[in-house]
Amino acid sequence: MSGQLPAPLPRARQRRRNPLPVILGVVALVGLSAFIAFGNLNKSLEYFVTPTEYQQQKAELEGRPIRIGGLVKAVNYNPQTLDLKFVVSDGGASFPVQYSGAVSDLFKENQGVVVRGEFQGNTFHAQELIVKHSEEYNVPKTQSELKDMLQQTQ
Amino acid sequence: MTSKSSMKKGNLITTLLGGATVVTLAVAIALGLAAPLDLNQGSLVRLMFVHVPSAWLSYLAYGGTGLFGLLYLIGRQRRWDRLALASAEIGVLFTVVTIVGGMLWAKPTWGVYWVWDARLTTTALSLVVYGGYLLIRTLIDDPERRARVSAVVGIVGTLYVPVNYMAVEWWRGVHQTQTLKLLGKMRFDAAPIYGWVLLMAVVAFTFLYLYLLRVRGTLAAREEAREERELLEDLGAGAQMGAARG
Repeated sequence: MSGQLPAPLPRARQRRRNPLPVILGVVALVGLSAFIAFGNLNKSLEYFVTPTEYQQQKAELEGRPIRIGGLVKAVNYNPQTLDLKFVVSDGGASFPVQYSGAVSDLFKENQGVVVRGEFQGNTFHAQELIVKHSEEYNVPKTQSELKDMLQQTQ
Repeated sequence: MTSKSSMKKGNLITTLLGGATVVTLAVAIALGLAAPLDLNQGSLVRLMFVHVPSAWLSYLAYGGTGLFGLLYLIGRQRRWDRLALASAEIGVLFTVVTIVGGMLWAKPTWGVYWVWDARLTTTALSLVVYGGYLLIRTLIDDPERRARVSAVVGIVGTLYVPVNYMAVEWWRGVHQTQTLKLLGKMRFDAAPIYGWVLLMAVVAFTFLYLYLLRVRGTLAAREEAREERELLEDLGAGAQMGAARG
């Protein structure tokens, strides 16, 4: 064991290593990251398709579970049965959406949403509904806005 | 080693940084609690006052790990390696804080705690990268080699910061884009009061980072000194025994 060390060993000779593999490795990592960022992988990293894109790629996407993102129009919500019908639109194309379940308080007309589900006929049957929040945050500017907000909080 | 007066000076800087953190944090909390609520999300907006600065701190810390790693490779001074380690640990901690705060905000607004969109996925990946960084450190015994290897990992890992920052621009996702637009024409798309709260909170968290960095760096230095002392004691005992046998 350590007690039997006869004398301090001479310093081990350092093998001069070829720096090429290290450089290649770093280059490969940087390249991979750049590829992910700018390359063709973009498509698979996109979280949803827009209604217009769906219309263009209908042949490929039809019948497959997908996510569609757009703005909420023509909301029809029944709080008793939790049945929700609305139209998701991006200005170019719009599709009717059907969903059942409670939704976030922020769900309203013109709000961004992402719905996951599939088309049955021309209606999108959503299993999951995510309400997007824009990057804008504002305080109420008028008295009536303030009153509205206080009422909603209560 | 450090003389007594320089140690005192070091302690003074640490104390001052701690004091600055407490004061700025108090101002930020007061401002944040006084700020009017958001038009759409009400009091939930206050989570942003923690979420954004902690994300800022994690960027700062990961950037620090890369910078100190680079400084180590240039100067080969062990203290840069200690600071890189300290910075990585702080980064992981505040990434977790960012994620937890964000999840608490996401449930009532988005309707779910988590989505696998680009911003959230890359944030989760940073835990893998820097978890790996800390793991690699424990696997290498030779301190010089450990410092060298982890410096390279730390420098490459810094790529996470721009990728994560730009993720909301590059890929469509659920996470909102930047409110403070730095690309192109600078713009802040929120009520100005929120800007002041965020600015104060970011200043406070920057002091917090520097303070934690110093404390953790000092701790790492003491750990290293103890390890070396123990190693020397072991070697000394070994040499004595060897002499007695011979």
